[in-house]
Amino acid sequence: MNTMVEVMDKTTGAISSADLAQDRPSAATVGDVTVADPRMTCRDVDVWYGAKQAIKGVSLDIGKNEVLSMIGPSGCGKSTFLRCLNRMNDTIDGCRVTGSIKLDEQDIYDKALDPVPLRAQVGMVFQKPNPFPKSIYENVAYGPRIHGLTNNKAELDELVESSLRKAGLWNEVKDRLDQPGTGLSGGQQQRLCIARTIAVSPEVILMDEPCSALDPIATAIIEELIDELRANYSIAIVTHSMQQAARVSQRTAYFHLGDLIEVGETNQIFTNPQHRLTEDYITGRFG
Amino acid sequence: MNNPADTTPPRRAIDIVNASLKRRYARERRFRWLGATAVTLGMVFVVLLFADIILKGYTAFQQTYIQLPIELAAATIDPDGTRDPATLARADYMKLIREALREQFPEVRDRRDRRRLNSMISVGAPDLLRERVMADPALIGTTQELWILADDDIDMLVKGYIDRNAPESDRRVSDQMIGWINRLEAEGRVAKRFNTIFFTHGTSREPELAGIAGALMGSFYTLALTFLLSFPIGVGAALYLEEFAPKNRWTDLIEVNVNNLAAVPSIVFGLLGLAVFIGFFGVPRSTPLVAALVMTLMTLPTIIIASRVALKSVPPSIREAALGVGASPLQTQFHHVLPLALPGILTGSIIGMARALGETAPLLMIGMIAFIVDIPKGFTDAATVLPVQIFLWADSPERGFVERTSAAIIVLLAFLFVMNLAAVLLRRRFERRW
Amino acid sequence: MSDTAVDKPAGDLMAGHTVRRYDQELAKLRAIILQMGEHVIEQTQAAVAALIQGDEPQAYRVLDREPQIDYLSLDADEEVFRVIARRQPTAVDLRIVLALSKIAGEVERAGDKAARIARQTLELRQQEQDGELLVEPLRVAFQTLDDKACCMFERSVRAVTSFDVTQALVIFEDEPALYAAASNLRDLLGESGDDGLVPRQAITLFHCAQALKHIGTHASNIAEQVIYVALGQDVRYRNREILIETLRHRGY
Repeated sequence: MNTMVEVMDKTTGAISSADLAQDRPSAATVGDVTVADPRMTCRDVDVWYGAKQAIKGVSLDIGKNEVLSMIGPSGCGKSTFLRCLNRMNDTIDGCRVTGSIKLDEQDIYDKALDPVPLRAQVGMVFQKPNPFPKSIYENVAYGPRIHGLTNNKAELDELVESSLRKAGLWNEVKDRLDQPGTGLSGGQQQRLCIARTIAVSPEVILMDEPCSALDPIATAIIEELIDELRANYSIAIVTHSMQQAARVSQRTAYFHLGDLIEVGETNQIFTNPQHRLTEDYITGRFG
Repeated sequence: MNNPADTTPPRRAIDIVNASLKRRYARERRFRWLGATAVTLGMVFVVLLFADIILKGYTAFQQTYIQLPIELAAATIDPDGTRDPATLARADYMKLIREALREQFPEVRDRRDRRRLNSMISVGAPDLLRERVMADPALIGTTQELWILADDDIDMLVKGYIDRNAPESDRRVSDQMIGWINRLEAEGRVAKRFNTIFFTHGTSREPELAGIAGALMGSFYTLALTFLLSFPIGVGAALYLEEFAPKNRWTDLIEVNVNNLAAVPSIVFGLLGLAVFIGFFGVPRSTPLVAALVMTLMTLPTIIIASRVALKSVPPSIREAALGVGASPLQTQFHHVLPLALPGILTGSIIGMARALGETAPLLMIGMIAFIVDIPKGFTDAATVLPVQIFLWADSPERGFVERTSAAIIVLLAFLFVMNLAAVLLRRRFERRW
Repeated sequence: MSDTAVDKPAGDLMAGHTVRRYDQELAKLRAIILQMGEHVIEQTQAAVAALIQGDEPQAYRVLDREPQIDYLSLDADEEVFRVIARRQPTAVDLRIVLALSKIAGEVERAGDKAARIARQTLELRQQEQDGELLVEPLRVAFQTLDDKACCMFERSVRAVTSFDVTQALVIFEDEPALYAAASNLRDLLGESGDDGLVPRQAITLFHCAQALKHIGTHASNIAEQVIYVALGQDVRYRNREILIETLRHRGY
């Protein structure tokens, strides 16, 4: 068996099984959960909702400048895991997280750590575009304002503009910054939400099915944007669309009933997944 | 079904549907008709109620006056000629009015008849004349054609509430007085003028002198204080319970209690106010302050429940959005959730306020039923409120109070209308849900 | 990867989609290819029989039937496009569709080889002056090569029906025998001057031998695709001996 893998490595360049066995903290996961240059490292993360275990011993790294996609059938825990990464689960009663999740070597579940600045470092974009019912300008300016990131109006204006530019929305809204953000189209709203997130200069952006409410064109624009944002941010995206995961991500993680079944290069996961469950899921054989 | 002889083809589903269609439409028509009837009936009753109240009450906005040429003799009013207000206040204005009246009816000589003649003038007329003179002392020494407030019996007679054809023994006004009034009317000396007294005076034993200013101000002070107390406390409590409090047995207990308090009969709150605020804390009784405290207790559950519902209806995505950019929980609530919930909260609060405005029972317990003539000037002056005033007047025997009761109800309704209008306008202003 | 959960499913790789129509489409694609394969085997056998027996009408029949395979390959291509456009296959499905597309090409080219043998037969008949052309040893050698090639091809077609790694392995193992039979025949043809063959005839017969060998090679290529589908590894251009060794080690 090992010979087989080694022989085949010569052409595929996949990780050898010897490495695999050593660096895999969770025995259940197929593939390498680590990356060479991690931004966030999660080890043996368990999440409980009351007595129900939603995440079972998941270990996973998010690399710098990479898009990590998480796929899996509904209720597999991928969104729960995502929400652990900026402690959004804190707001849910009875939710308990064990294990370690580190952002640049800082344990984010440290008792001394305040989740409020953490959420500025680890921004989040949600499933449904949820701009504040305020003006476009106010939507983007809100985060920098509460964190005191700018000293005066001019700086704030500049930050708003650069955030909107990065989100690819500036040219569409520059003439109507004072109009309500909720008046934009769905895709524009989602890009406004992305602009709002990057306005507080996070290191990691979490996206929870950001395109599930959008039409294909708007989805394509967001996907293009995600690819551009990769240059400056680490991105973790949960998606129901396997094609989307295949299109935007460099690595893909497959969750199943709270287990992280398989992690790997997106190319490998979508052409030759190692685990039967992964294969069945991405080829549409269940779920 | 199993009978092989049964050769009828199976009925198609659409046939069955068609067969029942007529019945279904008939049912719908019946339901609509019932609904329309109920609404119409409701409207009819509302219209009847308003018509009744307005018909009964509108005459109270006019009051009968008798025009008399009054000689404001300096000798009587200001014998020293100092124009000292104290002297002017002490003068016997009744005498002036009576003299003027006697001049109109020189043939009346009998003592009893004279007294009857004098009784046509309201006992409050001298006070009104005093105010007039003191406001303009230049009048002293001149003879003025002045409108003098008539007694309530005369008022009723002029307004037609006393039947002139009824047997003399059955009415409060004698034939003799009717004769005098007829004479005065023929001379054009009797007129109905706008009743300013109703809006500027406190209550009185005499219907023609009774006004609702005291009750109106009492209601205003009470409500203002109630709102100032109950709105922040209620919204704060709702915010805490809805967004911050842990969900455990204690908060469940509090929730159940809040819901139950909303259903507690209001008289109980009155008893509580009597025992706790007046008995224990020594808050002065009959004051808007203690009334507001009791009303606050009574309104709080309504405001808390309405606010919680309004907060709950704010989509969680807004909270997530705010938390997601790093707003603290408090910032999330005050910057995003509360502004969105405000229209709902305001509606709930106004409903609570409206209920407080119309409330009588608990106020009876804390002494608001006292007969208070003075218009309250602050939160700690003895006062009464509109519904209590209405209750008191409705209980009074004089004929003149009947129309005043209705008029007070009109004022109360107008007050409510203004409040609701304010609520609608406020909602409109805050409801920018874009 | 001895973990049982990691092992691939035992049953039909193409079945089990939530969308059953997908299964049907894949099955249809495979059925077309299997049909092509059967035609190719028939054609090859008929062509070789025509060659050996000098049966001219048989050779014509082979040539007449050849377009059928071409048409089927067009059908297969169309089906491949359709599946890709409609289902966006991933993972094993993607491998199946890609492999079947390539297999269709291999089968079609194997059919061409059979036609080539038939054409060469006709050419031989025209050059032939008299009597039996092929001496006994040549006949035997042709028959041996034909048997080997057809056997491998038939096996490869069977391997496609269930993407059976074991069958593919046997095909790889058969390769040396094929090459041996081919070189034996080549040697015989090299010495064929002694048997009264003019060089032109010898070259024609050599073409036939090459065609037969290529049919065997196509079978090997198909077997490579079967391995690709079943194991997810592209084993083309890989050292055969090591590959056979690894597959054996893996228990096939």
